[in-house]
Amino acid sequence: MISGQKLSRTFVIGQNETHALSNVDFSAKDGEFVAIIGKSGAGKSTLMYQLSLLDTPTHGSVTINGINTSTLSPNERTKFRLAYLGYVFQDYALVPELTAEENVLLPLLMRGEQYGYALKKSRATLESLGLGHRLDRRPGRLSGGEQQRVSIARAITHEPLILFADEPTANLDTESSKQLLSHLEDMHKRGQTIIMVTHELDYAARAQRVLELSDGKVTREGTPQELNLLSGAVVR
Amino acid sequence: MRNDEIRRLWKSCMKEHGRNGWRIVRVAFFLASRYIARTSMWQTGLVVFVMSLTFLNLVVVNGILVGLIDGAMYGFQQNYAGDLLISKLPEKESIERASTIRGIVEQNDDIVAYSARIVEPATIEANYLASVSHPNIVPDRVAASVAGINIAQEESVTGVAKKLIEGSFLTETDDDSVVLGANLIDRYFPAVIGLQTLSEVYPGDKIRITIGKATREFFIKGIVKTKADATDLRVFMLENQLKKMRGGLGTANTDEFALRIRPGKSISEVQNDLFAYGIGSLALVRTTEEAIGEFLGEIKDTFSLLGNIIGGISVIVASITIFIIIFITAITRQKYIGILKGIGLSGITIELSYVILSIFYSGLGILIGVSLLYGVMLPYFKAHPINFPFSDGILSVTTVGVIVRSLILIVTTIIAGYLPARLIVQKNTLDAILGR
Repeated sequence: MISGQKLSRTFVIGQNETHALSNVDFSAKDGEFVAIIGKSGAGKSTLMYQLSLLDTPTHGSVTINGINTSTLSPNERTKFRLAYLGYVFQDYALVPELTAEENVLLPLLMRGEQYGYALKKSRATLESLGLGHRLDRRPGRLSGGEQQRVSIARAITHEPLILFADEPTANLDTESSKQLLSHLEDMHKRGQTIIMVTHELDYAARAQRVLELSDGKVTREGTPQELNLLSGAVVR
Repeated sequence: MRNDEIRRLWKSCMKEHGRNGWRIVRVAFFLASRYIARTSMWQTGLVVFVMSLTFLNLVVVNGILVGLIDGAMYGFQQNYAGDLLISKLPEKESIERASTIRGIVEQNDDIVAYSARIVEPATIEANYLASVSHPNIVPDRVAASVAGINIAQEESVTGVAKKLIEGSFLTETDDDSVVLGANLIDRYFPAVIGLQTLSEVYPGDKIRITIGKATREFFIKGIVKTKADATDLRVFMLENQLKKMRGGLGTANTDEFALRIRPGKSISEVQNDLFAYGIGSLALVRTTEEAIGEFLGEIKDTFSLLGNIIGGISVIVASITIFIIIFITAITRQKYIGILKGIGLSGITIELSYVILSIFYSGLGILIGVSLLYGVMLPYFKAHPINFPFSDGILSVTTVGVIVRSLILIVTTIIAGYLPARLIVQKNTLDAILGR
């Protein structure tokens, strides 16, 4: 289970203060698929960065499975991310010098797995995402959809407790986006906790629960049906 | 996974510091090796080329500067002093009990050859016949040392006979001939203030030699040039002729013994053996370095310092090159560095990957430099010494020197690679990912 208590994030630029997040409470149960929606600048990505330990809140704390992460040092946060969290970034964020399988096996190597085992596992993960024929291709020679699937493979190959996806379909065409959502749904069915940021209501509607943010505050929360999310609509 | 199980796993994960070190090295090596293998060959080639030049600059400049002096010392040893030089004590006319010393030298198995010389100060005159018929012509006159030698002994110790530039060397029957050192002749050693030379003298010409009250004419048989002043400012004649001129008393009047030591044998050990016989109280027993004097040693130290300064500058240039390369590489990959940290790679792992990259650049550069040094430059300079007026300049390089300079270069590039990597890696992870 992951929870954020009274999360605030303030950015100071010169003498101006911007409150990207104000007193947001969040929680997700094990195996839950939560979508965070909102307009641009609503604070949805900022919330995800706090929950995924990529950033530190100005106030408030994040607890993951009983561990208060605000007590962790930067090094411990890095280890925690490696051990328990997975990330899918908006622009794939693959290392250009590494092939698809090498990008995927990197977290496994860092966790201390043997190279042979890590390679086998990364290949299996890529094959499960339909990329068995692209193992030795470097990111520059993969399509956007393929790169995003490699990014997902890298995020899940070490079986994280929680998978964070930040606008995973933002750079994909409709077909690739649908494929990606299907993969996320499959993972969720297998018990994977997923927290996804998106501005596309159609995709948010496929989550179990939706959190809507506006001006750094939670404005609505509930199931897609309760929030009456319209198919095909996009939050701008 | 239950909460208490996760907490237990987390605690065990935090305790794994021991295995962490190996993990970091492994992943850092993985990242660096893939970067090297898949980055532009031109970039890698250029950096490695710069590192090779830096290494060669570090070793060769110093080696040539020191080699000039080493060349002079080598020439002094080969053409004059031998491995050990026994000479008269400063306050004495000649070596005392020379026959005893000769006996000790002959019985020492580590001394494979020796040349006993008689040395006398003399006045050499040339063109004196022309001054008889033309009173306005002043004959050339120089002061020089005349060395009376045993040809076979001299041949076994020095290579003087092989350094003829005109004419031929003395034979056992050349009672009325001498060989002149080239520095006594103005066409080889133009006169400088306070130092006279002989002009227009060639093999076949006659010169007049005065030793004490004895004066005698000799034919010039050859001219020798070794670049060792001690030899090139001398006149060589047969030992028995010099004895005749000064009214010699046999071996008792020997002034120098130049000794050749068995190859591989420590020279100072043989020197100590000779001291043990008490020769130190009868004569000076000196190695080449001791005989040549502190002057050249000090020049060598100065040249070495100069070479190190020039080499030091090149190390600074190389470290700046590495710094810039790594800095540009890291800053253009800032986003990926952020992502790597984001997915759980520690900062030290990423920093180490750049350090490995630096070690690769400098290591390969050094490897190519060493190959060029030992495969091309050293054999070339050995076959074609640099022709300096006072020595045949060799490339003076020692294995220890090469190792020390290689380590200096590697350590410098490690620091130069680590600093920019750390600068970028220490940036906030999220700022790096978002390019803020």
